[in-house]
Amino acid sequence: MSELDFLSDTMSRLLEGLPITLQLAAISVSAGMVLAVLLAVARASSRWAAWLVRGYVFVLRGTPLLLQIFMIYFGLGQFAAVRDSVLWPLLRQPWWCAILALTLNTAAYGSEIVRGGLNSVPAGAVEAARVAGMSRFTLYRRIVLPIALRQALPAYGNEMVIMVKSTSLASIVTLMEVTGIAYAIISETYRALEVFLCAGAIYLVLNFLLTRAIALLERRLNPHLRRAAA
Amino acid sequence: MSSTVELLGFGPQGWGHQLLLATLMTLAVSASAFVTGICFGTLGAWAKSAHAALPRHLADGYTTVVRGVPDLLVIYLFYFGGSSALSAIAHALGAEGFYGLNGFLVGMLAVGLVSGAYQTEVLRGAFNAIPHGEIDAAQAVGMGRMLMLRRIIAPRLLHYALPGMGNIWQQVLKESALISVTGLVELMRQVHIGAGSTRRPFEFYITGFTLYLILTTLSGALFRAAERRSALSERRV
Amino acid sequence: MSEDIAVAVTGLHKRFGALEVLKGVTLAARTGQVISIIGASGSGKSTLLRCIPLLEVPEEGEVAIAGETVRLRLRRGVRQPAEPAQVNRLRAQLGFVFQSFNLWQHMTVLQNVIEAPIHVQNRPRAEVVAEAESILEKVGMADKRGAYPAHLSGGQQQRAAIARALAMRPRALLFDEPTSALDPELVGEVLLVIRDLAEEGRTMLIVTHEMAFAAEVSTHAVFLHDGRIEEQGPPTQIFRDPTTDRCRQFVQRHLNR
Repeated sequence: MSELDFLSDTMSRLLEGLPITLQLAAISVSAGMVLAVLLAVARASSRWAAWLVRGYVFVLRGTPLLLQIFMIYFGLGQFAAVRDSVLWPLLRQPWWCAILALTLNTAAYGSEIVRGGLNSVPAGAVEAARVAGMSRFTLYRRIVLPIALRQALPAYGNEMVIMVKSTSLASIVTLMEVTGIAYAIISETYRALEVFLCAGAIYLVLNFLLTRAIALLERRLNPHLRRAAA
Repeated sequence: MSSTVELLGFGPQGWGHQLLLATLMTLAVSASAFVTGICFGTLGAWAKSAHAALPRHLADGYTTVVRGVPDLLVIYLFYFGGSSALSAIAHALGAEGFYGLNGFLVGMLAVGLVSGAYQTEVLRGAFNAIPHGEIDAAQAVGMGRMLMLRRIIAPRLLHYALPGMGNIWQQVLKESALISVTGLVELMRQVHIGAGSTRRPFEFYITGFTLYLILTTLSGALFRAAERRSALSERRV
Repeated sequence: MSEDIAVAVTGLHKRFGALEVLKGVTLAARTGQVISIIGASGSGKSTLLRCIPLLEVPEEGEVAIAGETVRLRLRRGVRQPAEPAQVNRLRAQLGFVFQSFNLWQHMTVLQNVIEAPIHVQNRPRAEVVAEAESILEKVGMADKRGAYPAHLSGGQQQRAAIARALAMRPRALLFDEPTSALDPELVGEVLLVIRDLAEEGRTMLIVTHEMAFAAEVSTHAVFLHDGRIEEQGPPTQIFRDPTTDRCRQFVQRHLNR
């Protein structure tokens, strides 16, 4: 088989894993973002909520993602209570375990990013909203979160890129996303460099597209940061 | 059914010894990878600051590619590719059979390469943060390049680079868990072996969580203490 | 519970830590009055004004807006509003203009103006926008309706902030040193707008350093010293012929700028 044939063959095999990679990334990032915002808002509300959130973030940011995945996939099944519960059909599948682990992990990092965004909201903007009679809910919805999320976007974009790469860990619990397929091909053929180049190219393109999309979104959401029309 | 304490302790039934050794292994491979990363990072930072276009482009390529692909892929590259390369060299030299690169070496090189890409940015930023006036002053006094590097640049560089380095060290500690796929018995692998062998994964993984948390927390505290010491000279009177 | 009284505070005491900033202030603003509040820095003027919409909660004393008293209660030793809903409702009847404008940076001028009427007062969008346009016309910011605050001068931003307050159809307008953060050349355009509003007969409380302006525009003046009302009365008295020494010294020092 010629080199070119091998490369194109490898590429098409790898691309079969792309949908799974994309789904893992998209679902965990979106669910994780919602959770991150909830965590960040909770942290700002009461003392014991803040303590809980800080503990959560501490544990998830201080330990390897792989360990977190294993804990959910292998560890939970040890308990009869879990095996008998209504969630078991989901929790015994590697797909849902991976999604859960990825979501919980990105939510921890994301909540710190959103927290930074929340802290950057000018006190004056909040006062003006309060004095106009806005309820806390309206204040957050119309003023605080829009400003905080705009501020957090660059850092959050970075986190999204990290998440796309993190989906590769799902291969260790048997999910056949791009890295899982790469591993299979390499262990068959031992042509590590070529497979690495093909698989690497796929991830690089993904990250490039993602970064551009974020930059575009940043520009669209921040017309107030552009130079004034003359 | 032994209790958790028996299971994890240092008795005959206990896995305490293995866990301790595995933790030390994690520290060892992480430290080696970190130092490797500093080497790559220094090269990269130097290349990015070069006047010539080629080193700059190469360094840009390095950081972009390595930061854009999953670490697991890099590990597979070194594990399988390294073994292939080593075997090829051995065969060329007349030996027979398969030569595998040992897990420690693979981990050190792979994680070191990835960490080096991040180190490049930290070191470059730290170098750029050194007020140029201090370098001018050193030159004006007639310091030679080596002396200047040793007495002026390196200490200042360390000060500005410490926060970033602290983060990267913690990253490396956590990434070392991926090296378990090579079979190296560091903490992640040991915990997984224990879990499978005793069919009590929860207790082992919790222990894993605890040990990693101890490592990252202690590291954080150490780096912060170093930052504070380094900042003593920065304090405005 | 006279509806004629737009805003009333009774016996206000306010402390920040060990520092007592308001030591028993009682003041009422009748509909149509323009009350200027003057005094040295630290006399408590801003704190007094901020107590009215409960941006600060007084340790003692009462606040009443349009005849309705704000219900307060003690929780863990700290006084706070008993009903956030009541406070928000009453706030929506006031218009507050800040020294630092506090426009919402991510919204255009028009969006700033229509935000609260739509989302707090739940008025229909079409009606709010139409009214907002005419208010912006009045303050001279109609052509800047689509501009973002970051692209405007201080005077323009403050006029937009005034428009935002007006859009709430407030019972009373509160101005907290509206020109103190402006470059001198821009002060005039803002004072012009405030004077027009006064001439319309709106109820206004203005904390300001602009003595000449206050003397000209107000129907009643209050001199605050060290947390207490030292003297109050018609502007002819306060600014021209005060009865107390402190007031006389203060006015003399500042009016001759």
